[in-house]
This record gives sequence, C-alpha cells and structure tokens, in this order.
Amino acid sequence: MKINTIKKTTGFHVVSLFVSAGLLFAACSKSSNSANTGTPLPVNAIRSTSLTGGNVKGTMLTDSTYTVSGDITVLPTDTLTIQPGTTIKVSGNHKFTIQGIIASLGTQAKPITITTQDANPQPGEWGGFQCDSAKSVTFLWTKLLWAGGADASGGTTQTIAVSVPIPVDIEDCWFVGGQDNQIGVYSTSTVKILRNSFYGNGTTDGDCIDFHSGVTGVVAYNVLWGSAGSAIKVFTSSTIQNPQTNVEVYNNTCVESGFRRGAAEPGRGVLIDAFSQARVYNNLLANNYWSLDITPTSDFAHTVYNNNYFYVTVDSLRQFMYPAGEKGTVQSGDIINLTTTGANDPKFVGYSTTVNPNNRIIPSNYDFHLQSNSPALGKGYTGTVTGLPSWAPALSSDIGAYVSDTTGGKGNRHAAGY
Amino acid sequence: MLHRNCFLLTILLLSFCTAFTQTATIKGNVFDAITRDGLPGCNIMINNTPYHKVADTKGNFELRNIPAGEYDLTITNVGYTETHRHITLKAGQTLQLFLSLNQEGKAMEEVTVFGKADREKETGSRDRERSASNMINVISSQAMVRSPDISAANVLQRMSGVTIQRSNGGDEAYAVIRGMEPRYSNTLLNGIKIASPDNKSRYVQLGIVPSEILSSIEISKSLTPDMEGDATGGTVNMVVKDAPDKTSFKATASIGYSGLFFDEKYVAFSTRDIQDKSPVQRNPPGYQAQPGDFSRSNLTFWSRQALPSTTAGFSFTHRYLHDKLGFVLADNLQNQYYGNISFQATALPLNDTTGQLHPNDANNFKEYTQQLNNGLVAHLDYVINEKNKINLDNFYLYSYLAQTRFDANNILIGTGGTGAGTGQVFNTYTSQTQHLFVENLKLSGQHILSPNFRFDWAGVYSTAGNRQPDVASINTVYLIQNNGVQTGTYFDGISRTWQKNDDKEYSGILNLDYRKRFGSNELQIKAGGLYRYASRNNVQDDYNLIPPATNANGTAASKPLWTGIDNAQWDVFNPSGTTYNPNSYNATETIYDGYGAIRFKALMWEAGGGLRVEHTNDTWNVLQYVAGELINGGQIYQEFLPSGYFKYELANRQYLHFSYYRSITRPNYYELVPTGGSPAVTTGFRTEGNDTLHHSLADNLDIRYEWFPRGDEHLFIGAFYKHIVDPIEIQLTGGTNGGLYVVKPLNSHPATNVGAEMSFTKYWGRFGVTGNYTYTHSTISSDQKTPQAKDVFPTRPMQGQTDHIVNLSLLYKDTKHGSFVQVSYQYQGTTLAETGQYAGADYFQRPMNTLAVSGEKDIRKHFTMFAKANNLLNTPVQQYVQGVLVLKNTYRATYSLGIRYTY
Repeated sequence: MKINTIKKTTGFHVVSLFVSAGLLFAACSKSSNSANTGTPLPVNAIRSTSLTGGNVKGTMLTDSTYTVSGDITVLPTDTLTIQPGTTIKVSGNHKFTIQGIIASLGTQAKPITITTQDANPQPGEWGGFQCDSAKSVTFLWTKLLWAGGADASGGTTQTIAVSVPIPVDIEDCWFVGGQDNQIGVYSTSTVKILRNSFYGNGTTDGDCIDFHSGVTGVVAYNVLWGSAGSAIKVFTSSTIQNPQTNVEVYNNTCVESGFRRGAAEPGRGVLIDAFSQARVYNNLLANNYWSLDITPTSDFAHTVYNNNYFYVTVDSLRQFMYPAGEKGTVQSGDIINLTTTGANDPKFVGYSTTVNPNNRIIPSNYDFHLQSNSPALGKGYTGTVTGLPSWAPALSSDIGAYVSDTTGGKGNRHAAGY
Repeated sequence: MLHRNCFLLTILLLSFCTAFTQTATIKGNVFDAITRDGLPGCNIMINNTPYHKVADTKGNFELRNIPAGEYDLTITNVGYTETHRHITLKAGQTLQLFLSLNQEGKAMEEVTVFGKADREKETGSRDRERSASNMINVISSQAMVRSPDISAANVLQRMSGVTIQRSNGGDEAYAVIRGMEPRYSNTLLNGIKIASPDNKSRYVQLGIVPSEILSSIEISKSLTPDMEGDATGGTVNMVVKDAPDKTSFKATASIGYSGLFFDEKYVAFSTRDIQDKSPVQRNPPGYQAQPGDFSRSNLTFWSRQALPSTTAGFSFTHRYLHDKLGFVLADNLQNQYYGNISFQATALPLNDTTGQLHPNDANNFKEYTQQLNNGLVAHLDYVINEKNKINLDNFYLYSYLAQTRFDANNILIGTGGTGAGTGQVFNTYTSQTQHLFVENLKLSGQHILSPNFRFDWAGVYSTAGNRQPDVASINTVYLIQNNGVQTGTYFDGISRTWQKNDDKEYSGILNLDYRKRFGSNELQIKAGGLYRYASRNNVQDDYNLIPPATNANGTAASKPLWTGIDNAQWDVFNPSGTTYNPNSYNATETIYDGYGAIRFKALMWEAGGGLRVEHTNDTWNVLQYVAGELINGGQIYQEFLPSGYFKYELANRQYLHFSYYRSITRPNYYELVPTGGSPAVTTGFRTEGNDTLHHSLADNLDIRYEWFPRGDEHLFIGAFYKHIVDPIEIQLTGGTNGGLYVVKPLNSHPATNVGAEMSFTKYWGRFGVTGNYTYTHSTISSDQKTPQAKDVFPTRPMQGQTDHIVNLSLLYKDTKHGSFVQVSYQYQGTTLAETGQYAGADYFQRPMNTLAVSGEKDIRKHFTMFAKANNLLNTPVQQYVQGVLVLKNTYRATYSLGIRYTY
C-alpha cells in the first residue's frame, strides 16, 4: 500500500495521557471552593471548581470560575455542558478530550471564557478541545484563548479538532492567540461556523478554519484577522477525492492573513483546493498575502464565486489577489482593482494601512465594522445559491461580516476586539 | 546412467634429474573430477611405506625425500571413490601429479548428527539437497566466497526462487521466496530462529550478515514436522562454520569503491555530540528540554571524497585435547561507503473523469551511507565419546550505519502546486546513525543412546536490538512562484527522534529419533517439541523544535529564513518529550510446539509425514492514547500443521519428489497493536494496527524432479501450488460514514500462488554453467478504491511477486593455474512492489538486468587474489504506476580487490 507521506504534515494530534479515573464531578464537601449556585441547580452540576483531570460529565455552572489542572475526558456516553458566564482557566498544558457531547452555551450577555491561567498568555498554553471521536460539538458565545499546546507526541494541537462525522456548531465565538489551526474538521461533518471572530492565530503556521475529507456546511459572517496561514481553507485530500469537501463560504471579512508562515507558504484569505468545491460570495478580503485562491486541483468546474471585495494597500500584494497560475479569475460582481494599490478602500471603522506581518496582537484601533459610506455596502450577491441549507442565514446585500441587516442570523454581532 | 566406475586419472609428468640426489619429491593436487575444485583433507599414501600426506585446503600436497623406486599410491577422501596410482620415482626427480577423484554414488541418506558431509563445498550442498526429505536449495561457502557478493542478501538473490525486497537506501534487505512477502518466510541460524532487530516486524535484515562467516545457506521450500511451521514461502537457514575435523586458518582482506563516488562527493556529518539518550531520558523526571539540549554538529554537513570500502576477516578451526574439543573462531568486518541518487513520487488521479494518473509529491533525494557490519562466530564442541557430543555456539552480528539524506520534495498537487517546476519545495536534511545487533547463544547436545535411539536438544538465548539515537531532520521550504521567481528558503523546524528496541528470545528444543532397519528398509520415528518465549520492548521519544515565537526584540516572529544550522534559533515545542508514542509498545509471544513424524525408506522410494501442533500466545501493551482505547490485549490460538512427502528414485541419482505441508504466518508484533498515533493529519494517512488480525494458514503442494548426474551437477524441475487463507496485507481502509481513512493490516480474501522452478549446474571441462529460472503467478483480491471512493476488489498478484526470475552464471575453473572466473547475470521481471490506494494504480517495478563479475587467482602457495565487480550495467530500480514514474534508485557499480590467505 502506498502511503502518501507528504513532508508538510503538521500533526494535529488528539491526545490523552493515561489518566487515572477519578470522579471529579462528585460533590466535594471539604472544598471551600464552591460554584455559584443560582437557582435552580442542575442535578448533574459540577460543584467543585477545581478540576484535576480525569473523566468529567455534567454541567459547569453559570458565572462560576473553574480551574483545570489535568487532562479532562468526556466519555462517549457523557455530556459536558457549560452554562453562560462560566470562566474556565487551564493551568499548564492540559486539554479536553471529548468522546461524548460538548455544549458550551454562552450568550451574548454572558459569554463563556476558556483560557490559560497564565497572567502573560502566550500561544499554545493549553491543549484545546480534542473532539476527534465526539458525538456532538456545540460552542456558542465562547472565547477560546491561547490554546494549541503540544500533544503527547510532540505535535501542535488545534483549538477545536473533529475527525468524526458529527454536527459541528460554532457560533458567535472568539478564537484568539492559538498556536496552530483554530477549527480543524477532517470528516464528513456538517458544519455551522457562523459569526465568529478570529484574532492573531497561528504562531508560524496554522489556519483559522481548516476543512478536509468531506466537510459540508456553511462558513459565514466570520471576522478573521492575522492568521499565520489561511483564514479559510477548503480542502478534500491530496490523495482521496471522495467524499468531497463542499461548503458555502460567504460574507466573511478576512484581513491580513498568511504572512507569518513566510513567502514560501503564503496564507490565503480564502483557499479552495485539492478536489474540493465551494460557493464563495460576498467576502471582504483586505491585505491578505494571497487573497482568493482557487487552485488548479480544486473542483473548479463546480466552484462558483462572485461579488468578493479585494483591497490591498501594499504593491506586492496586488498580484496575489487572484494569484497568477491559479484557476480563479476576476468575476463580474467582484470589486477589485488590479492596477492600483489602495483602490477600493472598504472604509473600516478603524484600520491602519501599514501591514505588519509580525503582528499577532490586534491593534486596539482596528475595527472591521464598515463606515456608513463604505463601498462594500449594497454590493453583495443575494441571488440563489445552489445547495445552501435551509437553516443557513441568507446572504447579505452587503459585503463582509458586519452588515446592516442583521435579521435571520445575518451579520457578526461582536464588537471590535475580544 | 551408471558411471560410478568412470575413473579419470590425469597425470602430467615432468621429470627433472640432478646427479647428486638419491631421493625424489612428489608434488601434486587432488581435485574433483567434475567441478575441478581442489579437495582439501584428502589423504595421499604410498602403500607399504610410512609416507603419507594430507592435502591442504586447496588440495595441494607435497611428499619429500622419498627413495627412488616404484610405488603404488592410494588417494582417499570422504565421499569419493578410493583411487590408486602406480608411479616410478627416479633419484632427484620432482614428480608433478594432478589427480582427479570421482564422487561416490552414495545411497540416499539424511545427513546424520555425526555426518561428515562438507557443507562448505558445493558437492556437500548437492548431498544435502539429494538426501533431504524436504525440498531444499543449498549454496556453499565455497560458492559464496567466489561469487561477486559479500552479504547474505546478495547471495540469496542468486538462489532459485528468491528475490530481495529492499528499502529505499538499500540497507534493509529481506528475502521474498517464491513471490511471497518477507512475512511469509522465516530466518534461522543453524536451524533455530534468531531474534529480529527490527522495531516492527519479525524479520532479520540479511544485508548486514557477511556471507564469509557462513558455511552455507539452505532454503527449504517444503517443511517437515520437525521444522517450525511459519514458512509458507520458505525457510532461510544460515549455517555458520561448525564442527572442524582439522586445523585450518583463513584470512581475507579487500578494498573497494563505489562507482557513485567517481563523480559525487560523499556528504558526512559529525557524530561526536550525538547523545545516546534523549533529553528527558538522560535527566531527572519532570525535566523540561531546553533548546541547548540539541546538538548542531550532527546537522552540520560537509562534502569530501568518499573513503574506500574495506573488508577483513579470518577463520580459525582447531581440535584440542586429543581431538575431543573442537574450536572455531571466525570474524568478518565490512566497512562500506555507498550511496544512491533517487526519485520518488506518488501517482494520483486528478479530479477529471478520465481517471488518468498524474505524479504528485515528487521527491528527489540522495543518500550517503557508511555501513559497518561485523559478524563473529565462536564455536566449541566437546566429544565426550563417540555417542555423545556437546556444542556451544555464539553468533554475534553488529551493524553500524551513518547516513546523510538530502530531500527536495515538490508537492505538485495541493496547496501551492500547479505542476512541475512550480510550487513549494521542501528541502529536508537528515542525519542518522543506527546500531543494530543480533546475538545468539546456543548450547546443544547430541546423544546416541542405542543403535536405534538417539536424541538431541538445544537451549538458545537470542537477543537483538536497534538503537537510533537522535535521528535529526532540518525542514526548510521555499516556493517557486508561477512566474518562476523563487522565494527565500524558510526554516520550518527540526525534528529529533530517539528510538530503541530490544528483542529477547529464550528457546528450548528437544528431538527424539528412533530408527529400525528391516533388511534394506528403514523405519524412522521422530517426536519432539519446542518452547519459546519472546519479548519486545520499543521506546521512542520525539522532539519538535520550532522557530521561536518571538524574535530578538521580544515581539512576535514570522517564520524565519534559513541561514544555516549555526544561525538557527528554536524553541522546544514539546519540552517533556513524547509521553505517548505509538512506537512505544511492548509485546510478548509464547510458543509451544510439538510434533510426531514417521518416515519409511525402501530401496527405491521413501515416504514420510507427520503432524505439528503450534500453540501461540501473543500479548501487547501500550500507553493509553485516548481514554477508553484498548491499552493491552493479545491472541491465543493453536494450529495443527500436517505434512507429508514421497520420494521415488526413477533411475540412479534421479528422483521424483512430492510434498505437502500446511504452514502458518503470524502477524508482526506491531501489527496487533491497534493504536496508531495521531488520528488526524492534514495529508497522508494514519497507520494503525489491528488487534483482530488473524494469522494466515496456507496449504502448500510441491513436486520436483531432481537429477544429480555427477559431482555438483544437478537439474531440478519443479512446480508448486499454495492456497493461503487469511493472507495479511497492508491496506487503505475506513472512510465509511465519513470517518478517516487509515492504513492498516487486514486479512484479504484467500489467495493462491502457483509457479514453476528450474535450476541446474553443468560442467564441460574447465567451463561450467549454473542457473535457475522461476515463474510465479499469484492472485489475491483486496479492497481498493475507485477515484470516486467506491470499494472494488480487483484481482492482482500478491505484493512482492516477481513474474520471471532468471539467474545465469558462467564459471571458468583452471585448477592447474588456480584461477576462477564467474560472470553472473540476473533478470528480475516485473514485480508488484506495492499496492496503490486506487484500483489499477499499483506500483510495479520494471524488469531489471544486472551483471556482476568475480574472479580469483592463486598467486603463490597459500595466497589467492580476488576481484569482484557488481552492478556493471548500472541498473536502476524503477517503479511505475500506469506509465507514471514513481521511483528510481540509482546506485552505480561497485568494485573491490582483495587477497585471501588459506592454510
């Protein structure tokens, strides 16, 4: 059997150390730590706020702060629910291995925060959510910060990794400062990746969203700034054409993606590659190393793209808006100027036109909401998109993630920053 | 065909008179009438006088100070017809005699424990083949020494029905017998299994065994009940120097060069800072590895002219204490420098509907290798009396390898690739050192209790291991843009791996043998058993060194440009090492075998058969990777393996030989360990074990016509049929319900393997021809995918099968002048090297023609010069998938020149 060993394999390993089984969800009478027990208390409440690892199930309680000092496993028959307003601090490089169900159910008023305990956080401080064999993955209004630490075999980890065919629902979340990929799905999962914000992910490699091996679903209304690799990568496999990755990518704002990986591996705003197909509309692509790349090995015949907005303020990036030699070419509804750098300013609320490729912390003045006079407003494609699932929010008549009409799930709800 | 009376005596008489001497001298040489090989140890006696002499290792003798007169000479040698010669000696004369002896036409008889057959000679090999009740092919030390080859692997591939499966660099070599993958054969040392130094399989790398320390290699293609049953393809038995009956001393040395280095420099690195243990292994628990723990000198490469390859060896045999204590010491050291220039790719369908394949992942690489192999054989035997003998044998094999590898990998499909000449190029610079060892300590005894009853026993302790400290790779990348402009080269990180594994095996063997004669018939009943406990321990620790996340002024850093190892900065991404590693596992295997066999020999035929029972208990354990995943397990099974044979003497020295046996193939230790490491990688496939993998069983039928006209001349023509249930093949599987594809060993549908073999040796005076031809046709079907991921089960050959194999050697022997020349040609037909993941996209190796030459010449008494040249046609190894080149290895020719001293 020929094994296709391609050198550039970043192992996103899901790992669990052999952890001794301890019932950590049991009531802990001696502990002075106690979760804020509002009313009514769920029967399966996790009352101890100090989790030292092992198998965990039940509900983490609203507005409580939990500390995690060991690897956590949610067994195949178990569910871990996180209530709004919960904060989880992970000390050391520990991770959540999800074999059952994870439901992190924050709200706009009470988002959940899952981060490192380190006062001076760096990328890769904890191991993220390794959901390779999970039954279901749901994250709503959750901040996932500084994840991606080494797995037990030494590789980087993804902040949320899935490789089984399950529903993956990630809405209104923040991903900041991860070591490598933020959302990696490698299966025929159906994904809902809506209205999330990604800031400064990937140290010297890593994509914000990385699909492989037959993913279907929707990626819309996300704001993605400053990833080391691509903001949105759509890929089937370089060896196995089926099942095919086939997704809808619309109304995303991708800014300054793909520099930290170096010129040899330029990251893209949106990349459609390796036997995959997609519908790509209404994306606002500003100052990405390569903007929109539909490669010769993509399923170009079935890929539709239009009404995308291109803005570069650096001469050298202009040639890579539609990189030469690739399949993608300028479409009738695109807003693009191939000859003038700085043309088609989308008029972000806050932006500096100087691109600093080394930047991993988003400058405080950056705000990708659009000013009322933005030329991106009203330029979106709102026609029929073949195969758009019925549950998906409609395409906006505006381009980018922040849109004026936010009914029906349209438009990113986040304020600037995190 | 009766010519046992044919008798040739060649005399070349040179008279020389001097006036003042009253005595004469006889100088001469005794040699085999057919093969023209000198016959060492034969006895030359002048009848009715005290004058006698034993010929030296080349068959030379000299008798001095013999009074003039007429004499009768008697020349005797074990296995040869006694020969007489009448001579007349004149005073002062030096009489030169060249005496040829004919082999005795012996009755069929299995070589017994106290037999005297000389396994080192080709004639002894033919005796083994003729008298064995199973079907064997034997090559003698004499033939190996004279061949162009210096390793057991290269010797084997000239034997009938054998090809050698090599890894890319050519330093791993395993036997494929009759088109059956290495897993279907076993490797024995003096008839008993040896532990494997490999970290995954059960095989022994035959390329590290110097052929000079062997007295013969026997390949058994059918099994008798007293043989271990895990040999569907066959058994490779390496027989080392043994049981001396006379004093001998041989020494050899040679020097050589690889033609590759006529126009390539050798790339070396320093090994001085390589640490035996990883940072975590050599520090207290809890240690966090620091950037400074990783040396730079083994990643500093420089070019120089390659050094010559050298070999040196000796063997000494002697008997002490009135011949009661026999002693053998032999050692052979080979220090070789070689290399290869290679290209490797994968072939994939693009997403068009034609299914036409395109190359991808094109990798050009070069390897520069120094390999030092040492084989040491020590043997003691003590003959208590003529009925009891004890042996102590130790065999120690050590191999050291230092290899530099430079890769330039261009991914043609996928991100950044738009075809040849553009896209990302991943340059990788790797240095590795490896220490392999195999040691086998055996205590054995042979006892004749009565004329009818005898038994033998053996206790064996065998260890093997592999140490690969700090395999280090620098990964860099640059991009050739579509406009042809190349970016700078970026530093992608460094990987460091410490790997070690140890195998230990304890075996006990007992055989009981009862024989009874009824007139000219003989009945033999054998029974016996074997116990073996084997354990394997694998440990691997990997480190991932990545470019620093912050630069010198404290802000975030982009991926830096690569400016050489001395300037490189890195962070240790996993300072704790690898707490879990799929290559860290333990396995044990306990085997109980028992057998009973019966054999009946009549004047014109013999028949035998029996039953062997093999009970296997395998266990494995690993660290847990994901909660709930299996961390230990095992298999227990017992199989009954019947076998039988019938051999009929059609005419004198012509036999028809039938055999049937059932064989077993156990999965490799690693293949039962179900965890496989990272479940999700961006590209490529995860490799997994399979704890439900079933062992294979095969029914094997053989028929062979055997003719031994004279000397070591022979002609074998045979055919075989094998039916294999649960054959094990590595397959791409999974992908159902959207899950991941994984590569794992699976049991395929039953397979069949049919074929024919022919081998022969024929002499015409000084010229001889020896050769063999094998045809193999196997069929198997396993799961493959269409480009649309549909499962199909196409029929194809088994992995490793070669359709046609031809070996042909021309020999020239001039006994008088002590010269020998051998020209060896090999044709290896189309070989299924690997199955592809797509149906119809299997990797086939193109037919290869190779030519090698060796020769030797006696330059003076005791000294012989020899020369060997291999791969004279500069034959590359090439693999294709439907016309797409996916592998090309070029090695170039090698040459060596040496001298041998024989006493």
